[in-house]
Amino acid sequence: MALKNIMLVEDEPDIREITSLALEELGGFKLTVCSTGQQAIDKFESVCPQLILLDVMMPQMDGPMTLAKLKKLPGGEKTPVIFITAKVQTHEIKEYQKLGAIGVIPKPFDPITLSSDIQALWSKYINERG
Amino acid sequence: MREGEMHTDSVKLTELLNKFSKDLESKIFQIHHDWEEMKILPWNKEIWEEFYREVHTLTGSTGTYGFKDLSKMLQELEIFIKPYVQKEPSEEEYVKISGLVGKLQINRS
Repeated sequence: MALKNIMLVEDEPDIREITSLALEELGGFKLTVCSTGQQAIDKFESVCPQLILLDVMMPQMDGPMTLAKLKKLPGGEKTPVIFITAKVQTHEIKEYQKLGAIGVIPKPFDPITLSSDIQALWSKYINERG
Repeated sequence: MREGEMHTDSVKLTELLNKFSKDLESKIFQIHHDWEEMKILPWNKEIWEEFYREVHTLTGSTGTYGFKDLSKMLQELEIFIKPYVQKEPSEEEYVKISGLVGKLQINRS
């Protein structure tokens, strides 16, 4: 299954801009951009993203809390999530995987390779799912 | 390759980098300014949380926009101040933080 429709949840405007450029212009993905976890929850059902890119550290509702709420929405349980975070110690990656994340993109990331990094995590997920 | 430069032929990406680069000085100034205020105020968890978030955010964005050296300096500061979101630093630790904040500068050479 080809990856086309991605939702980005990121509170930092500079990161939102460069991620949008990397994924839309360079990667050719259709991207829905949300600046808060609540916005992601509000838009989720109408957007039906194939994949969610979720920042971990956000004010009010952080990434893990947003993920927990998304999972309760129709279709939310089955939608894979990749966390974007500066905290990428091994035990933390395992914690995110326990929450249901299929991968972690460490910050800072290279905007030039971001699309292929995401594509690789997506392909791995699809292969493992069978 | 100078700091902040990325291998790309994307005009839009270059424009975005230029915009970020232009705004970066004021963001660094803001960290210096916030720290100068925090030094003289009584320790306050909310203020330290906000400062930590400010540093954390800039660590990620500077690195992503190609300012690797600055991002490393910010990360060093971020790691050092993290415990003091929960408890007040000692005088020595305040001095150390001042040193780390003082090191923050944009290398445009």
